[in-house]
Amino acid sequence: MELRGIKLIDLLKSIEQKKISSIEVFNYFSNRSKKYNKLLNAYITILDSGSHVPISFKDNFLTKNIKTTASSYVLEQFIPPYNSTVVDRLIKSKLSILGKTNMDAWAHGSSTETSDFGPTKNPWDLKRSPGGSSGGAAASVASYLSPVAIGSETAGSIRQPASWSGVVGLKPTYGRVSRYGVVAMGSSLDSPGVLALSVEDCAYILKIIAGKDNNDATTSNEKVPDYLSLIKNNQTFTIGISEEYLKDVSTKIIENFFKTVEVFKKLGHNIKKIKLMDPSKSIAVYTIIQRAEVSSNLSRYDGLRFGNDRSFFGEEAKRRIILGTFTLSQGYIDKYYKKAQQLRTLIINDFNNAFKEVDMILAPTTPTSAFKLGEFEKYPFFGELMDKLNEPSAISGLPGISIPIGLDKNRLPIGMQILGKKFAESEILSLAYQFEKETDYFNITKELLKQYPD
Amino acid sequence: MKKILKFDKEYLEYLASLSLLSLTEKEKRTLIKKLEDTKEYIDNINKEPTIDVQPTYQVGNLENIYFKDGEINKRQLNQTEVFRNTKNKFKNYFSTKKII
Amino acid sequence: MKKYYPIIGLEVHIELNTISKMFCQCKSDYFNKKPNSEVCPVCLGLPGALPVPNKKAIEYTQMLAKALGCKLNTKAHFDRKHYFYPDLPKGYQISQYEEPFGIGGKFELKNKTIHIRRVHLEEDTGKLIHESNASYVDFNRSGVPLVEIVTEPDFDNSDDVKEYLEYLHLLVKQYLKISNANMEEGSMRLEPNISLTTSLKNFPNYKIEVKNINSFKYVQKAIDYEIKRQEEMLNSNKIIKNETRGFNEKKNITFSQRSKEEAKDYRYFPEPDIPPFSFTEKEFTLINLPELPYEKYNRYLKIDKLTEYQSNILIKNTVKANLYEKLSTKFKSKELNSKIANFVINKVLSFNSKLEDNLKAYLNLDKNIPEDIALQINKVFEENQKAVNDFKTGKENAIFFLIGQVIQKIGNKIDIEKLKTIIIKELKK
Repeated sequence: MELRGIKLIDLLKSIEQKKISSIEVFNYFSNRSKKYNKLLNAYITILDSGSHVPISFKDNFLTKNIKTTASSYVLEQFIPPYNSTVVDRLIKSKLSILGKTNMDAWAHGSSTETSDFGPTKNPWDLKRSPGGSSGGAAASVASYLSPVAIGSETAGSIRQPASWSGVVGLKPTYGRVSRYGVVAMGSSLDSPGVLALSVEDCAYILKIIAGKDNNDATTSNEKVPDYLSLIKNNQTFTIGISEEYLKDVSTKIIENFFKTVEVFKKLGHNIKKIKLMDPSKSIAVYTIIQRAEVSSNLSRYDGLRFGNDRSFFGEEAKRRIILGTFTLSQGYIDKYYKKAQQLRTLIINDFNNAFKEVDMILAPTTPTSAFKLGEFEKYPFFGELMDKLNEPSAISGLPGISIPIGLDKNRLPIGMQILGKKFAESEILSLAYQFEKETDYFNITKELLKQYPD
Repeated sequence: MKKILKFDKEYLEYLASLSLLSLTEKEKRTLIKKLEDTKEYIDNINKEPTIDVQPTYQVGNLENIYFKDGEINKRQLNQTEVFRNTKNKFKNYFSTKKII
Repeated sequence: MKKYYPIIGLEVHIELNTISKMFCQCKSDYFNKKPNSEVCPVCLGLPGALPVPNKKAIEYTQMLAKALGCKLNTKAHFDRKHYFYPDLPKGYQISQYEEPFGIGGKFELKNKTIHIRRVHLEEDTGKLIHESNASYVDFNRSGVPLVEIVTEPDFDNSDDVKEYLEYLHLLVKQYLKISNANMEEGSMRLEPNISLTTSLKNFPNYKIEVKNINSFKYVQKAIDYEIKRQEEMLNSNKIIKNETRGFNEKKNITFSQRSKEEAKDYRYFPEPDIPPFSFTEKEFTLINLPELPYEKYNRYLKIDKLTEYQSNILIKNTVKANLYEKLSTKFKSKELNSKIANFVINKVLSFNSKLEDNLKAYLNLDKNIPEDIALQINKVFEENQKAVNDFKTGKENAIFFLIGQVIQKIGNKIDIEKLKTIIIKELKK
């Protein structure tokens, strides 16, 4: 049976129908992952054996008895004594751990280049970055080393690599999925999520991992609907587009964006122009909040109870910690941290106003397609600039999904994002699903797989 | 406390000690410039008007989340698990250099 | 010689006796347990672990705040307090800074009111043991709920401080029952801060904190020593800077520990992992406090008519107070209350089933005549006709025989004179 490119849910069906065994499926992905990892460096760890359909986990998700490093030398040999809730729920749903994917160390970045274990290459062009911080996750899915990948997003870390690597990337509402057992970066922002080649797989996984967790006080009591069936409702929506999100975006991306908008019009949706706050205003707000929380969350790494001492932090981590300490320090906290949280309120209100007029919002996911490795050195807060279009929704805790909508002149993927109200995952997944059914993403995902034979 | 307009070496060293980080001279030089650039950028937020705006520290709108005292402890670690990842075990303690 | 006024404030930490720790389900009863045996990812500060607050700990804190006359905040939250120390696993302590559970309470001394600035809740750190060549950390204590009670610097002498501490101890241990408050075990910790000023209009520009004091007696000595030491320094025109000092029990002196010249920058910000709390005034009115010491004292004094001395002793020992109340209820006599109190205070060494009998003996109650005495006497008359006739024919000594028979029958100790009078009365019928 030809497995390459098959959706996770179809793999599960085939196993049920006894067309193939789950162990065969596990071995298939494990072998592919091992085969291509030297080339792509998508994984930190690949497991040799497992009994169920496997999926890859970003290496900031704690996996019991399996090394978890957050791609940092500080945790180079850290073996967790417990599973993160996300891992636990997926294992209970009869999925296996395939491996731990590479990331920007501590999730500090948008290119996977700050990993202490080497950058991950973009499967579309090995000289380029797959995006970050969930770069390994995105690369593992794009090249079908794993059918689905678990990633996390603080602001852009799922959507941006999904866009740069040509896959579907879902960042759920903050509080929809438990953060227990995920190495903390920005506590008020972090959202575990999914990367896959299809919307159905995202829906399937989300249903398993979403829901209140007694070990995470910030998870919501909001009921978890049956996403997989809801997305097939074929609802029509009123969709907003804001000029502010089209500024400074490359021409080819804008072109593809409007082609996609036409598809939605054709499918019967109502497109409406709306006014949103300039996303550039979110950059400073996000930078401050994130770095303040990072500086705090990295305080537990002192080398006493586990891990290596603080001299093992990389330059990017040190820089973020020091800036975070600065924004929280006496005399500056009101000016920076508190002020940023006030602006956060304004950003949230801005979205709330927009959602009175529209059900969801469309925008390009990133201003450019994948950068060449090494280009990020140019800017001191490169990551934050790259994630400009993702930051406002991340700051507000809103869900967002990035879907591939074409390729640019350099044959690099272009992504578009759909933003929804809080806990409206079924709606944004629904719209994405309609697009997928209509266009099959213009065969982008299938095209890449030709380059990665079994 | 010091009010600074720019990041200088002394202030950087103070922040590094607050953060329990040690920096090489080279790192200090690179960091000063990068931090100064970032600071210049984030200073922009002070131009935005926020009079009477409440800060949002949490976007979840949750409140009063607790657990019930006396619940069974499902997460207790055994001795192997507690000490598995440390190089600093002595008898049943974590050892560290002497604190005066 | 100038006159100096002592300005003394007090910070007390009290470990709550909840079953679970503050932010996880590990047992908070850590004393004498094998080191690092009662820990989990949360209280060990492992990557990815998150805190969830213990409801009972918050309820206890609000109870204590209410008992101290505080205003309970309808909006409260936890904050992160950052500093590095081996016994602090996360590199920050979850505590309260801006919106604690209680503010603005008071404690009444005879001639003064001590204002309580705040009552807040936080987590305890692990325990550090210092040996000659290394230090060792045990995280069993990490995460245990800790209530901090801070007073304004309203004290001016060590006797008042002792009175306040004894009251707090009594309140949390015997009345609210929220803590073992054992100073040797560390479930109650005290930190006085002491300064001197020449004029009550001017606040001193320095503050000396004294830590690691293990008993109320030593707190008094430490404060008295500090007042003297500071007086001497100021009289020799020396400048006193902020400092943290320890107390040496053997020499009864304080000594310098570390300079607090630089105020520590704890970089407080609201704890993002724990949603804030919101309460209503109505909920606060429903917080049930037991009868508090001063309420009990007033009741004993004014209603039960006990003496000040007796009332004071009883309120400080709730086991005895409960026993007194039980016995007092049984005997239902206001006149006897004071005697019952004396009995409980002085005579009760252990508790046994003979208690009531012993009390009756103490009160000479046995010497009271039982109600059915007439019946018993007439029975004796029936059984001893000869003696009755003897008495009636003038043999007065026969009365003693009859008294003896009655006593045999009744089997109690009895007031013989009274009995004699009653028998004679019956004989004359």
